[in-house]
Amino acid sequence: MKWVYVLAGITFYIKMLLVSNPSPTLTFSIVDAVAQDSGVPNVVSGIILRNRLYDTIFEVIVFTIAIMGCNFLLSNDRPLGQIYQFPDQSSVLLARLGATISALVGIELAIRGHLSPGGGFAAGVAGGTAIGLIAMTSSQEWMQGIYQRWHAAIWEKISVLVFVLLSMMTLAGIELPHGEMGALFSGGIVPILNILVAIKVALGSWAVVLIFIRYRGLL
Amino acid sequence: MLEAFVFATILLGFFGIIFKKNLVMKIISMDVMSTGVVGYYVVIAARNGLFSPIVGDRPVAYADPVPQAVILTAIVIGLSIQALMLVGVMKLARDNPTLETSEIEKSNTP
Repeated sequence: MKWVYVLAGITFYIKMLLVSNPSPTLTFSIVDAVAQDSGVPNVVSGIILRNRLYDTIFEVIVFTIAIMGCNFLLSNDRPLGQIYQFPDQSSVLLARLGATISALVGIELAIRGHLSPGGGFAAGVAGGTAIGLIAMTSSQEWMQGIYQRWHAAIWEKISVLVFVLLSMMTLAGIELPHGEMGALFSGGIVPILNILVAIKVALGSWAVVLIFIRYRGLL
Repeated sequence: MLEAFVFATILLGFFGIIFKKNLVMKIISMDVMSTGVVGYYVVIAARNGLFSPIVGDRPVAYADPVPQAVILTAIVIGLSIQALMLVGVMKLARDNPTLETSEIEKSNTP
């Protein structure tokens, strides 16, 4: 049976290499057309948060459900008693420095995601990296306390709901004015959606990091 | 040439998913496969130009933004699916003290 799979895989490989893959020749430039439509220079952000917004709504929902699923599956487990952190001063200092830089990069990517490379998801991952670096070196109860004191889980849900609401309004045809192309406050709804996605992904990865550290430890 | 390497990555990941018996190895193979798929989209997007599709002052040959936007979705979904799969494997490994699928199947068959 193994050999059937191997043979099928290799035939598929040869087929994909041999069959030609023509690229379309368009009379207009896709980049210019999308930039004109959405009013933002970063065309990938424009496509994700305008042309393919319906797809992005469900992407955000899948991300939320996956995080809720992690939480749900592990909720009846016994937390690990002893968690080993990095105790020495130098790694604590390095992790804090890295977290500061990473958080600043995250904010930059979120608010300028429609002008330069970046966008909501990349910004959220940068923010999550910053939180992960802090979680590696500080005590777990302290992190949990901050997570609960600021109601991070509720803010995550609120940002998802606001995102879905704003995207539904955009899909219904209500559009903000585009403004001057290339300015910080331009592009209509795109920067707002970028910031919402960044908040959502950062808080979601915080939740996942906390869950994994609580039940599995750092090693 | 690049396409051949990308397809080889996808194929190796696929064989890893099928033939590896260890659950963590299966998850890693799935990651390899999805990396290959992302690479394929990037190669396809770069056929007509190499510059990142951000409108600048002077016109250059931009890469196609549509495949890049499509595959960004897959990257994020892949991350969340991996977190969920790892949690599932943790649960399985706690119930049966092994990660081999054949052992887990054997101890759970009535």
